[in-house]
Formats: sequence, structure tokens, C-alpha cells
Amino acid sequence: MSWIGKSPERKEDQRLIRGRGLFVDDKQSYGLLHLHLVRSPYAHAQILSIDVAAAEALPGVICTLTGAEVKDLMPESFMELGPEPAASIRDYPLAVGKAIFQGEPVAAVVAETPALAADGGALIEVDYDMLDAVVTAEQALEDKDILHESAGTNQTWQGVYEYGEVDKAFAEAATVVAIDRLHFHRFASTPVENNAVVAEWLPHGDLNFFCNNSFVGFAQQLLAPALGISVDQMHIKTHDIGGSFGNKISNYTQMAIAALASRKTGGRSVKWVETRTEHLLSSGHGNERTFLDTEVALDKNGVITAVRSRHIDDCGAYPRYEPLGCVIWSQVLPATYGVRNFRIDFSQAVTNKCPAVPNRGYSRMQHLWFMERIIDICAHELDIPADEMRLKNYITEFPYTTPNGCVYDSGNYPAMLEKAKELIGWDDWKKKQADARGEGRLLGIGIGTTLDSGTNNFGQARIMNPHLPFSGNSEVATIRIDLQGSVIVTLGSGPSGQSHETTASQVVAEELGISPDLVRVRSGFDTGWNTFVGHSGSYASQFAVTGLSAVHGACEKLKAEMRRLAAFILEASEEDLEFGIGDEGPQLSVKGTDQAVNYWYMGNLVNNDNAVLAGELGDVTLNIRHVYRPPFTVPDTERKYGNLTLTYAAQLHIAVIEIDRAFGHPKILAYAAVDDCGTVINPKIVGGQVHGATAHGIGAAIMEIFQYDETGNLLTSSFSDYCPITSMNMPDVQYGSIQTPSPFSYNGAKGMGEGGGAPLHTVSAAIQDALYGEGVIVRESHHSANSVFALLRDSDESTGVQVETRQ
Amino acid sequence: MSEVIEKVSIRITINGQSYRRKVEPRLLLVQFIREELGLTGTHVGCDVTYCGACTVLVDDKPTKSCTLLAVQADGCEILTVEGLEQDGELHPLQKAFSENHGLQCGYCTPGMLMSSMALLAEKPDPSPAEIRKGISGNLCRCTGYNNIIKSIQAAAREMAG
Amino acid sequence: MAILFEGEFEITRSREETFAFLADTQKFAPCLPTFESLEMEDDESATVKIKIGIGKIRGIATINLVLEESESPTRARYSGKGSVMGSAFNLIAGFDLEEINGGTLVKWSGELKMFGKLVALAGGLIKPIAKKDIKRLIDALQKALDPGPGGQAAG
Repeated sequence: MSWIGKSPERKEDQRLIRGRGLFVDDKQSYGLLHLHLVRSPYAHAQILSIDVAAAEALPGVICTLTGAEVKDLMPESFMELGPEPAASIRDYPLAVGKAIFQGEPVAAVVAETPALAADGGALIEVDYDMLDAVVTAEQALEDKDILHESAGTNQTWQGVYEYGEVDKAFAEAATVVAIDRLHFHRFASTPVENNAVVAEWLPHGDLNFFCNNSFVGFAQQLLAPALGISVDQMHIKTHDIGGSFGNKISNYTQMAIAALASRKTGGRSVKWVETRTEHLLSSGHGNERTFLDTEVALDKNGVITAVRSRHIDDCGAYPRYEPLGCVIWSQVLPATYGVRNFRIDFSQAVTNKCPAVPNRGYSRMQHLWFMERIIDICAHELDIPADEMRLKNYITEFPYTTPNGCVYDSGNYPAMLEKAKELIGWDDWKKKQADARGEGRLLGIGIGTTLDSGTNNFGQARIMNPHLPFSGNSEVATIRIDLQGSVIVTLGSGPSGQSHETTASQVVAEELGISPDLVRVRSGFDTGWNTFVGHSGSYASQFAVTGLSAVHGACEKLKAEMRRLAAFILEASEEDLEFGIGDEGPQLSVKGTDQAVNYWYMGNLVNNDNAVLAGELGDVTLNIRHVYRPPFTVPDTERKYGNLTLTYAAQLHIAVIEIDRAFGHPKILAYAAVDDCGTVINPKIVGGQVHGATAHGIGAAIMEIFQYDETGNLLTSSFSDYCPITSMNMPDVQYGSIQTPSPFSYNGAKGMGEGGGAPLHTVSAAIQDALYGEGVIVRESHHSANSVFALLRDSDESTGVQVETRQ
Repeated sequence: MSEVIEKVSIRITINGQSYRRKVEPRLLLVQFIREELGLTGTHVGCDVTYCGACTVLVDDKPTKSCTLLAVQADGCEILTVEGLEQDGELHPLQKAFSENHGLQCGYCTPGMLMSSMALLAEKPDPSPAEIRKGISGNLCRCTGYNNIIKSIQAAAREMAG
Repeated sequence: MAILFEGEFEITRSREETFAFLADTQKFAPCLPTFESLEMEDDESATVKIKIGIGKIRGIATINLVLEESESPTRARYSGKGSVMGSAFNLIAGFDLEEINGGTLVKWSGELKMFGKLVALAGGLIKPIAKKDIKRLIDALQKALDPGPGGQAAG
């Protein structure tokens, strides 16, 4: 039987449903010490002095660390990915001289218990001199208050993406729609497990990390030079990770503090576990984007021919990974639409807010929301129904090369729209909507089409900074038949809930003709396994392509060795052998005979009993390491042109929302989500990812926001204020899927899981539709009752949209 | 802060086993369960009683163990996720969560299971709305809740026989 | 989070006497609500401790209070920088004195800026509490400056 397209029992569940997972904070060891961070209450302040004497005198406190000390201990500050002047930014894990966001760590205390470490922290006296805070990117670009003196400007990146004949398209347009300002708000997926690490920096030089970083391949390249240690001296392990959604890519800064603290204690194990308030204040927010002076050219049929606009990203206090976001959005430049002419002036600025980090849908979702707003605003202004507007503009031929050289592998957006309409009961809701409007009720139906581009080409980093030594992509898997004949697999992906153990076992079972329960896939990530490359990690919707292709490639190599070995043992020809399960377990047999050799025999022969092997089998080890590399080339950095991702999963959502006229509360009455991620390896897992991404998007659209005041105070720094979506706010999702297999992956699968922020587009569209006739244009992505109420209250003000009809 | 804190003697029964310990009055119940007893299935996810990852049953009532001091649980009987499996047999809720993909990363799962236990003890045949309310104090970031609701419905059916 | 406040009151005491009181940190500081202790660093600056409580969140705030401006007999202005429970606040309090009906008109104004955990945890509660505390400060000053029975400004 085939194991592809099935949902066998999840391997991960066995431990997790028993409460027997191993998360970082579960790790206990004799003499373990605990680290507490003292943080700046100010968004922007000079640090005049730090007095640690009282803390160090507290019994149970082992040592303290300050920024000045850390600066001396680190051979260099963390690498910033951006080009000059952003490359000159000095980024230490404890603030040096100046704190530039509220919650930035300024000092650390190591003590025998977490409570004593916190007590010590309360005794550290920091004298600050407050400076004016810069809290919006537009304000930052004025460069009145400079955050990083070494860079001399708050602008960390700027570039123009221009394709086609934009001015000509505008000159020939039948209609031009201008939108003054759109804004995508700050939020994050906030995994339920906070950041955590146990570090042990032994006196002879080896540094051990047990952590929940979700992109270790990258983290180790940042940590090693900053800590003055070779990559090989760092032993990094993960086991169970309680969700990441991209957020845990950036916890390497805290890993460094724990490492330096351990070194100061003489090599004792030091554990740091973040509190939720610390997480919300300082561990990373999704990026916030403002879209200014947008103009859209349309022909007389309502087909969009060109878009020009100015986009500004607010990356918070330190750019770190974030300048990549200035390019990553361009993987989906035209969204799902056939627009050929674009001019986007893109810039990024630092502000006195929490640094931005990758967050589910990273950088593409902001742009896709922008494109979906354009579609809906144009549809609204030109009085074209939202579904028709999309059908007029969808890309329908695949593979499709976008204006900037990306290749959309496959898809069928009209079929997804049709399916989503069917699931939600479109015609019925249209009737109900007409009735509701007749009664003066505010009922809206919104569509959101989105892309989840997966398996990125790291060469796009060079569009942002030509000096970066990154391109392509890769992932590793190992497989071996051990001396007892067991099938052992290790992965480089370090998952955080995405069921990689299960799907990898399905691929192995499929290839070897056995069942997934006969395949042991090790949990987590471990540099000690030699199963990693620089790209190893779980990010950018790619495991089904990169991870499983690595597993598949490893299986093919293993099978070739097993065939040679079995042919020798059975004195048969390789062509006559077949893989399967016999009376004595997994085996190779000679077709049409009862001759067979099982895995135990083969494993034992190679590992224990090799004198009987023929000389020409000397290279057979049944221990395979395979690296999968997607077929990428380096993009043209001058033209900002090239294939930036391998696969394009798509999502199409429809929401029906009713707005309470008195309070502005948006209530979701019905919700449908249709997914296309090519060939589905495990329908249950894909469904789980779709539902999870939908919850994040709905939460972000109607509840979650990182709200700062004008002095840089984060007003939503606890879950009680941030209010992540709960079972009370999450609708029943009518879920469906179509499958357009990718021609670019061996198995037809497309990476998926990020979901492209579909609910944000969909909810904005539904709210726009509900407020049809109220003179309102939805220009923000956050739709709490407060903000919807404000839209209604201010409906007599300008919509910020102008339409110029020329023909 | 720096003054010496007098420890208090408590006796707590967890998963049928009785423990006597001297603890600092400020020790949270969840810290007692995790750090003193090494039962790390009960997790911590927030500091404000919002996420429910630390939910345990205290005298059969679902309780967020991050918001109760260990000394307040003196004399109580507590059930944690580790106590659900009996004689090598998983509880129907555990089976149902796995079968219905009601968990992904598994971090919220122990708390979610304990709230579900309390819900089904009170309402053996809960409606979807009652289930939503029953787990409204438990945050899950992976599943989007739909499969958790299905899991609880399936367990309720199984337990009804 | 910033809270601006201003107001005025009239007293019968002379402008010089009023100024002498307001510009004397040792006299002014004890009028702060929930005042605990005062330690003079030099003539112009002092470390003042006050109790702060919002619901169950309670602590002692340490304020570094500096007499920034002192123009006898018309103007006194303090700045303060404090911290409590991982949070910080900055305050400015100024007094402009005018002669009126043989007494003094005290025009007071100030600004309180809060930063950190307390704002996030208790943001909505801080404004009313701060307003109440400012009223208590002004009441205390008025009472202290009142030359009648019970007045404390004789020195």
C-alpha cells in the first residue's frame, strides 16, 4: 500500500499526549543555575550607570553581567544582514551605553534558583537619562533622533523594484485609483512556549546549547563569530519545541547571554526561561508595513495593468534578520494577479520598538494584504463584484513567470474560488446579505486569495546586500540500517509541531515498502548527528519539499546499497529484487521466490560480520547522508530579478461578518478555507496547518496588536492585554482542498503551513463589504471592535481614495 | 527580598502519591509540581492566568497552577497529565486528541486535557458551544481549536460507551 | 504615557515666604503623597522615597528629586526621576508665584511620564490615581502654606 496521502498515527503524539515531551524548561540537572534579565523600562535612554553590588552581595547570586562586560567578552557584535550603513549597527545581547526599546535587556543575574535570580535583578540599580522615542517608521525616516549613531541614519534599507512599463501603463489607463495610505499592523504568533535555553560553556572551550531555536543552521553562523568559537565547538540540540511560527528564529541573542553567563560561572549549566511579558516586550514582533501614495492603473474592463507605491517597513530597534523582509515580499510581487507593471519604492527604518522577527507569512503576507486591499478597493470604487474582480485578474496559465522572474509552479485560483463559494454557501449568503441590508444591518462577505511561497532561494538575500555569501537552499537527512536492522532517520529541520517525524516516516515507508511504525525518526535537532547545513531549520514553508526530498534522496541511496548487498547475499541479480515486509520483518526478496534477506541480517553483516563480505562491497555502509538542493541560480541583483522560491501553495478564504452598529464588534458568522499545496503527503497534518494558520490570521485581524504609546510603552505586554485568539473567537472553518501538483518537487508537494495571512485579507475584505454604503474604506489590517467603531464614527471623513476616470 | 524566608511544611497528593515538602511561601503550585516533583508535563505559558498550559485538577476542579501558591494547595488532591494513563491504558481523551489531530506542538495539550477532563466530568455530552466555553481558558496556537473540539466530542462519545 | 496637570490656588502668605517654602526641598518633599523618607544629596537634590500602590501591586518608589530652577521669589521648578518594580517615571513640577491681594497666587503645572511594566499592567488605572495624588499634593501644600492654626509653614 502507499503511505502518501494517508494519515497514520502521529509519532510525536505518543510522548506529547502523556506529558512526556522534552521542552527546554523541562531539562533539569544537578547544580543548574538560573538567569534573570534586567530590562529597560524606557524605549530610548542613555545608560548612565549600572550598580550590581547589592545584587552580587545577595546570598545565592553567583554573578552578574552588564552590557559593558558583554562587549568586552564578545570579539564582535552580532552580524547585521543589511548593507551599509545598517551593517555598522552594533548589536550586543545586552544594551551597551544606550537602551533603544522598552524591555531591552541591560543586565543579567545568575543565581541558584529562578526566584533568587529575580531577587538579584531587583537589586540592580540602573541610572538612565531618557531620550525622545521614535515610534513610527515615517517619523524615523526624518532622522531627527538617530537610534544607532554608528549608522548615522534610521533608514536601514531602500531600493526600487521596477518592472515593465509603468508610466506607459498609467498613461494608457482607463481608470486610475489612488489610495493615500494603507497600514499593516504589528502582531506575532506568540507560541505558547516562550523562548528558553540551557547553556554550558565548558572551560576547555566546548559550548553546549539545549534550546528551542527553530533555525539552528542560521543561528550557529551568527553565534560562532560573536562568541569567538568555531561552529564545531558549539553543540546545539533541540527536542520538543512548543511552537515557533518563525518567532524563535531570533532567540540566538538570548542564547549568547546564557553562554556568556555560563562562562563567567566557570562552565556551570545556566538556564534562561523567558516570561510571557518578556516575550511580548522583547523577543520579536512581526513586521509592520505602511503603504503610501499607491496608484493603480486599470483598463476599461477592470483589469489592473500597473501598480506604483511606496512601502516602509518598521523593523524595530535592531534590523538583525529583518532587512531580508525588504526582499522576501517580492516572491509574491503580483500576488495571484496577472499585473505586469510595477514600481515599488521600498524602504525600512529602525524605531524604538521591539525588533521585528520572521512571523508566519513573513513579509509576503503584508504585501498580499496590500494587493488584496487594492483589488477590493478598486472593485468597490468601480462597482465590480469582488469575486468578478478577482476572476478578471487571476493568473490562469502555469508555470507563470512573474515580472520579477519568479516562477509560479502550478495553481487554479478560479477553481479554489468556486470551491470556497460552495463550502460557504455563497448564493445563500448573498440573499441573506440583501435582506440584512434592507434591515439596515451591516453584513459583509469577503474573499481573500493568498500565496504561501515555499522553499526560498537564499540568493535573494543578495538583492538586499550583494556582499552576503548566501544563495540556493538545502536540507539534510540521514538514514541507516543499524546493527539490529532498525531503520533510523535523522532530520536537519528541528520542527516545532509540524509533524516532521511522521511525514518523514511515511516517505521512508513508501520507498522501502514497509510501514511508518517500523521507521524510527529521531526527535529534534542535534549538531552532533552531522545532519545539518547552513539552511537547516523549520521556516519558509519548505519541509515537504526540502526535508522530504532529502529523506527521499537518502532512501534512494540506501536502496541502491541494499540492492547490491542483497544481490550478493541472495546470489541474485539486482533487477530481480523487491523491497517489502516478510515473516522476519522488513526485507528484500527475489521476485517470485521465497528467497529473502531481512534488515537484521544486512545490518549485522555490515556492522558486525563483515569478513564474509566481498571486496567490492567495501563501500557499503547502510549509513547514508543526503543533501537536497533545489535547482536555483543566483538572482540578477541589479534588476532584482530571478526565481526566489520553488513552490507556490495557495489559499482562498471567504468570511461572512456582521458588524454590530452600536459597538463595532465584528462577528464572524461563517468561514471557509480552501487550500492547494499540491500533492498532499498527510491530509490530517495539512488540515491542521491550514486551521492553525487560519486561527493566527483571524486572531491578528480582529484581536491581536502590539500597541505602543507615543513614548514607546508597549501597552499590550501581557496576554490579558494582547488577547491571543481563544476557542471563543475562532469560528468553525469549512475546510476544503484542491491539488495542483508542483512540477518542481519530486513528489508534487508544495511547502505549506504559513498560510499567507489569508484571514487578514479576508476579514478586511468582509469588513469593507459590510460597511458598503457607509462611505468607509478599510485601510488598516486590525479590526478590533474599537477600530471598526472608529471607522463608523469617522465615516464622514475622507476615505483617502481618489478615482480618476479617463475613458 | 533579601530577608530569610521561613519555609512552610505542606502535604499534597498528586496522581495518587502523597508528598510532604517544606517550601517557600512564594513558591507557585506549578513550580512545586515541575521543579520539586519533576512532573514536567504541566507547562507554563504566561504569567497572567490566560493561557492555561499549567491547568491541573485540584480536588477535581480545573485550576491554573501558576496562579495558586503551593501552600494554598496544602492538603489537596491533584491530578496532572501524568496521572491520566491508567495501567498502561491511555485515557479516552488522550486517544481522541491523537486520533483527531487535536495537538501539534503538544505544549498546550496537558492543560487542554485537564480542562477537558473537568468539562466532561460536569457535562458528559457537551455541545460544541459548551466545549468552547470549557476550554476558553486554554490557549492553543497550533490547531485553531476546531480539531480540539472534535477530539473532546469523540472522547465524550467513547466515554459514554 | 504622559499626564499633564496644572492649576492654581491663592494663599494669604507673602510671595517671599511662599517661595522660601516651595524652593526648599526639605519642606516641599514631605508634602508628596505617601511620603516615606528624604535624604539630601546636596543643596539642590535629594533622594525621596514614597509608597506606590495600584491594587495589589505595591512597592516603594525611589525618586531622585532635583530643584532645577529657583528664581526668587517668582519661580521654582523640580524634576524627578524615579523607579519602582522594573518601571520608571519622570516628573516635572513647577510653581509660578504672583502677588495678589496682598497674598500670593500659586500657579502650578507639571507632567508625569510613566514607562514600563506598570503602565502595561495598570495603564488604565494610572491616570485617575495620579490625578488623585496630585490633588493630595496640592492640598498638602496649601495646608502647609496656610498661616492659620495647624499650618506648618511657620519655619
